[in-house]
Amino acid sequence: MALSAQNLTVGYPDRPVLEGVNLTLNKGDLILLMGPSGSGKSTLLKTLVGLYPKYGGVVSGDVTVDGQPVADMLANHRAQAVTMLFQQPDQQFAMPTVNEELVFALENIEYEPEKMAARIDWALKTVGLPDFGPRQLATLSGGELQKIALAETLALGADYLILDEPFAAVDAKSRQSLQVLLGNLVKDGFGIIISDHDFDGYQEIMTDFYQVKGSALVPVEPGDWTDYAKPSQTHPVPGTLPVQSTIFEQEQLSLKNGDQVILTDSDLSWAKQRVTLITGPNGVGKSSLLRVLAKLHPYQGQLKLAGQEVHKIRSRTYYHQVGLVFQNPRDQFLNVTVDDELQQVQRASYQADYWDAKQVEQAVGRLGLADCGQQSVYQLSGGQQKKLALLLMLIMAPPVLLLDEPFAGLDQDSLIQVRDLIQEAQQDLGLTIIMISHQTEVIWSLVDYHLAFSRAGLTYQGEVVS
Amino acid sequence: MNASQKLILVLLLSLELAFTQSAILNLMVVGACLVAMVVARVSWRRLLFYLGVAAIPVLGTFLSFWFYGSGSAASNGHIAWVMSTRLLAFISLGAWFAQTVNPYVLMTALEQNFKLSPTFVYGILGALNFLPKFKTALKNVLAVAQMRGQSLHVWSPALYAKALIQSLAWSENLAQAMTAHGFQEGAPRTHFRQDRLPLLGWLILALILVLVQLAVFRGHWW
Repeated sequence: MALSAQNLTVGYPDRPVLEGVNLTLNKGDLILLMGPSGSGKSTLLKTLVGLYPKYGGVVSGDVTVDGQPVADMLANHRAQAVTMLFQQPDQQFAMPTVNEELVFALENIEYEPEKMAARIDWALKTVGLPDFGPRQLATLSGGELQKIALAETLALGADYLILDEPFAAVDAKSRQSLQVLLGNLVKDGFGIIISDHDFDGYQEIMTDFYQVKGSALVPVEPGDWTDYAKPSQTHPVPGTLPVQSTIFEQEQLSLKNGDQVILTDSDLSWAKQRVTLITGPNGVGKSSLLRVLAKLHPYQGQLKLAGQEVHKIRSRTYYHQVGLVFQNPRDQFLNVTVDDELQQVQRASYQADYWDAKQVEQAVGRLGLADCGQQSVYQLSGGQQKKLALLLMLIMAPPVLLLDEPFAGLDQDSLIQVRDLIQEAQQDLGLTIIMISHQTEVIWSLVDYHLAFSRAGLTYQGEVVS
Repeated sequence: MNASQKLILVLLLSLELAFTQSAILNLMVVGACLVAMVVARVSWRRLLFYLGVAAIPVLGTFLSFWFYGSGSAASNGHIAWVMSTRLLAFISLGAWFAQTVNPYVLMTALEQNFKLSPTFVYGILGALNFLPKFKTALKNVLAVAQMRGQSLHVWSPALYAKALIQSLAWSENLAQAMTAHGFQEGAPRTHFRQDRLPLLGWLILALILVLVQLAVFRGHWW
């Protein structure tokens, strides 16, 4: 009784990505999968739940769950054996509220209507969100959405859970609590495969560890696991307070997300030509704050960019000054191919002298996008899209650049390259950078100022903990 | 009445009004819809909004038949009244239906009562779910274009091409998630909310239709 892959090869019509994969997931196992962005982790995981080749990808070899080939099973039967949590927390639900979504899933597998309410209560309690039934999914944070998705898979009764980078948009605290939850599920006899770029927190709960190297899946021996674990460290930040030269000034600033108040009467100065990091728990309103600075979200009180009230500045003028890199990289794209995108920003760049052809080519190479020129931006992997979206805005180089989770879902190498590119462009061009990041381990050296965002508001910190 | 019965009532009444030339009947329908909405606690603001939206086409219809009708002054007046009140009656029926039936309830009722394909039902519901996201996406695209030194306008085809690509990606992701959550085309499903067609609902529906027929019949002597 297991989920198993034999001699599996997955990829795209023009190229295989992973070859000769042999993998067995028993009940009570937790397998961690790590590997560079674009190395085929998502493709492999979607094949294991039978979504590929139906929804794309080219697959050869066998995947069976308890002896049955997954690709041949009907979705309503398969979901009771193996199911999946997706990378984009907000794109996995068909219904508007938590209850309706869970009911939808239970109806699919012909669950008895009289027992549904109890089943839903149990699933929500298990993930620690017992009162969330009536909540609108659109108002939940990334971490909460992933917990609901987990509750949905539990309600379906699947023994094997496949999680594709479920923590990419989740803060450290929610991540920890979800990991504890996964640990408990494994003890209860569930089998789990999870892909992640961050090793933190898995050592105690996992039973196997695989890495993608080239086009092969290579097991890592338990004796070598400790090489991946790093203790947390505290790094002081260099920025001096009060902020001397300011770009944004806010007075009595208040904001709401829907009906929820996320900031009240906040006074703050933002440093010009420096890098400011914003951290805080999921759902506290970090993205909304960044959208306010990007003139995309309403606010009350005063917010001034270089002395001028933000909402009074015309959009066209404003966006010459301020650029935003969205959390979802697809939001950043305007053209179809990678080359078209790069050429457009090179033409429009405010720093065209700096970003000459050679500099752009170099940056593209460093981010591992050199072979992707003719590809559609929508076919790139999640990590590649992320890197491209950031590069496009670095090449545009407006004086103020806002970055929403630019490091989420990047592998170690990409992370270092992205950090260095941001640092070089920031220093060479004197950009103001304000960014949100859950990842602090590699990028702390970038940071001049650190703002902690909590229910109590925004406060400058003297250090970054990684 | 359940949602399916309400839909049948609205369709039958609309059909009947379309073939009946009675301003009084039209106004009775308008009045009944307004009362029903007040009873259902639809806010006054909403009601005023509907009346505001209705005002221009209703007035326009009235004036054009009144001034430019091809018959005698009396028949022009009659037609102007009938046409403008008919329009108001259609708008009121639509408003009553939209305000008292939640699309999710309606779609699941149609699935159960009339065996509408679940693929169609959940496709529509999924799309409804994306509507607020679509608005944000359009706003984002406009801003992104400006941030990248291009200006797109609400009438730029590029804006909609981009929005379309985005929607395709969403629908692809949603389809995969629905499959992973056990949705199988053509497979039988159970229903948490049993949406039967209540007998009382049919009786009310029949009563309303009988009353309307009486009004139409009497109308010949009015």
